[in-house]
Amino acid sequence: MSNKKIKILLLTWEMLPIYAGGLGVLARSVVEELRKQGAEVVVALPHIPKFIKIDDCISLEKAIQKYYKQKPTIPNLDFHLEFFKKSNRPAGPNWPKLFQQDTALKKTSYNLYPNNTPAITRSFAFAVLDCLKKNPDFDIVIGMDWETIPTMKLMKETGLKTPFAFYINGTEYDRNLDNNKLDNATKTIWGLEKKYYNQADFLICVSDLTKNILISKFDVEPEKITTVFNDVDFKPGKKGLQFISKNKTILFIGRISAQKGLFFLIDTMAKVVKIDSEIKLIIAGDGELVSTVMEKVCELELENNIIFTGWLSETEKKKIYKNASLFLMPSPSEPFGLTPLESISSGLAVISSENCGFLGVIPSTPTFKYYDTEDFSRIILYYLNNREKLQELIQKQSLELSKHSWSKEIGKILTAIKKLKNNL
Amino acid sequence: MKEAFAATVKFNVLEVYNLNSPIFTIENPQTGFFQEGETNKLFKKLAKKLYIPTLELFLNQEITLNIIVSGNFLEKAAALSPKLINLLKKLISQNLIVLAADGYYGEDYSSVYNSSWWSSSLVRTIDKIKEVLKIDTKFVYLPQLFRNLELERLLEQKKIKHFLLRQKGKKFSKLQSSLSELRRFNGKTVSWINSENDLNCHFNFIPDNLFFNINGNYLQPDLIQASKTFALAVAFNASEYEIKKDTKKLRTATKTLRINEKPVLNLFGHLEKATFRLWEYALRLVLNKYHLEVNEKVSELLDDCCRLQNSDFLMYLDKSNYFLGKNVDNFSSPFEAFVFMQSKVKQVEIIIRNGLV
Repeated sequence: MSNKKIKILLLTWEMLPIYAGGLGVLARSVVEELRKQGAEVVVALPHIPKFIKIDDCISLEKAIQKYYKQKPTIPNLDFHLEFFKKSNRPAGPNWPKLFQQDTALKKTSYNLYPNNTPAITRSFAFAVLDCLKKNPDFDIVIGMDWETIPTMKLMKETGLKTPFAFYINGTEYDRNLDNNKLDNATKTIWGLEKKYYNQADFLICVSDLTKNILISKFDVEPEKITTVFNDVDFKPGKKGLQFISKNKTILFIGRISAQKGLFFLIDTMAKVVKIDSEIKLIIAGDGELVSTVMEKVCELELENNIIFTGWLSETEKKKIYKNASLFLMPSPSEPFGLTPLESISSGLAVISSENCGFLGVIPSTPTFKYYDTEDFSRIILYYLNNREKLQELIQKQSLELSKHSWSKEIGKILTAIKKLKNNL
Repeated sequence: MKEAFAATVKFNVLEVYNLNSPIFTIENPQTGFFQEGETNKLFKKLAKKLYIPTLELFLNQEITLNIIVSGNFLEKAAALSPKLINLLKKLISQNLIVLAADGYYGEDYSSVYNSSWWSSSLVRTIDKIKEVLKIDTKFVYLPQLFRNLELERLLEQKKIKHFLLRQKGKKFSKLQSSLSELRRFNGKTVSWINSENDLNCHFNFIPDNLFFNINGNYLQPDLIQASKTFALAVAFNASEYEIKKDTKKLRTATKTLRINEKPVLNLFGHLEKATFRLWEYALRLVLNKYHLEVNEKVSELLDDCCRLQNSDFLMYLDKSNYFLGKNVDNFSSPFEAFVFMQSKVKQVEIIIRNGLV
């Protein structure tokens, strides 16, 4: 292979500043590091909200709208889902209304995953194909998560020679471990992932945990998978919120969804509060389960110990990391988890369930089994009551984080691309 | 002395809250709880579309009923809607209504555990009735029966002997009883009532089907239509009762009435119960401070705290109200209302703990 720049087309539904969760943060970090290491990366998104300025991405919205009307089909794609089912859950808080002081947030209210997302993924595939026909010199197309599966299938069906790799930030399996009733959309996407992930030329995943899931649950050949441990470009804040006492405050930041283990966390909190009623948990974030989680908090009479902040801006998030003594990761399965790294960067120690991908980078993290509320509550109380041990823990975690090299991790992607090109 | 009617309509000011994100609230604890300007705007709108049309129908149809008013309601009406005050005056002069005083900010959950605040709040309303409507108050609305002390105070100060209470069921009943005859829920008497300060009181128990909160119509999509439906429903129930009352014997409650000393919360959902606990917590914090040092700021905080605990807030926590599909001025889901109240209680806690009053 010559020394010419590797040219990558990256397909994603999110990329900072357009984001709904970790995917947007990851996409931004990956792209910036790839560019730093000399790759030429073009990022294609299905939609860029008008009020967001983003110079380094292209929107395929116009082409998507054209194909959405035409409804062309992708040969041999076993994917009949058009719409997510409307949620029966009661509406949660209307955060933009509660945030009315923050007019910026009001303007930035958008939905990246509307109900017709499954249908959009197919139109997106045709839009990408047009793009590739006009610019055939990409060395590889990298698709983030399941939304890009139809694109991969269309490329293969039309005989395009450009290789395709998936970058797996999370699977439907991870997203539904805490969900005892799988809906039709979930089952369909899960089936799609199982059928098509292995058809890619290679896969990148964010942790060994995800690698194992891809092998065991999605039948992907192990040699096709490269683990690229996540990292986050995060500059911690200097000051916390003025009026919150740090000592007995613990923190959860994340999407309030089934994947995050919120009910497990609340049951644990009920045990913690029985022993020390002054402990407060801040739940920062929004999500489809927020109303159900709130009801549960009220039912267990924890309304004075569990505080909901809603979605936080970057500045607010940086502040709130400074207001707690312990950060909690209660997920039943978390492909990686960027918030623990942000937390450690901010000087806040983390404890986690055993099923979190970031443990590959921060192995000294105290862990508990998901569903073991006894053990989880014991660890919380232990660290809140042993300041020296807490200090030791954050020192260890900070040291491990300092050894983690994002450039080395991203280097693995470029190596994998080069290897693939050489084999072609 | 005029007797109470059976049908009862409650009037109070519907507050517009200062909605901020929880983080903003925590960082700026001295931001106000209410939007006074917006509350006035809403009052004007409700007066025009709901309160006045309803009272006009009562006047035109000569419907007899009890009207419960808060002091704040009369103050706003006097300042913003003279027509509303004139209507009330007409209804009173034509003996169509019995006016009963509510707490100054309406039915206030803090009254359950802060008796001194509640009685002083009632006295403020009684004074406001005198100022605005030029009449002496004879009836007072009790959110619940108390352990006598508050009644006694009121009786002493304002010579009130007649009370309206709300009760479950469909039967209107009356009870004439001395304070010493009231029983605690466990059946025992209240020992501190001696013969010297024992007094005769008249309790009127208004059943649910005859008790109406006019602000409950606020969540209806069409206010004018809602006011018509509401006024007709009140008129129908009131007239039906008045027609039938002569044919059936008025139920008289037992003489030894037992008093629930704790609020009965069984019928409320988790969000409501949690909100009650939060209110109680906030009020305890403020009262602690209030008893340590009384200054203007603490009094204002106590005032705001009680104003926050208005029973009208409960309609925002009722999920069924949102099925009407109307985005109300304050909240668009019960969860949003809950988060709002949780952050306001946190705000009170921060103010107290950080000595900001």
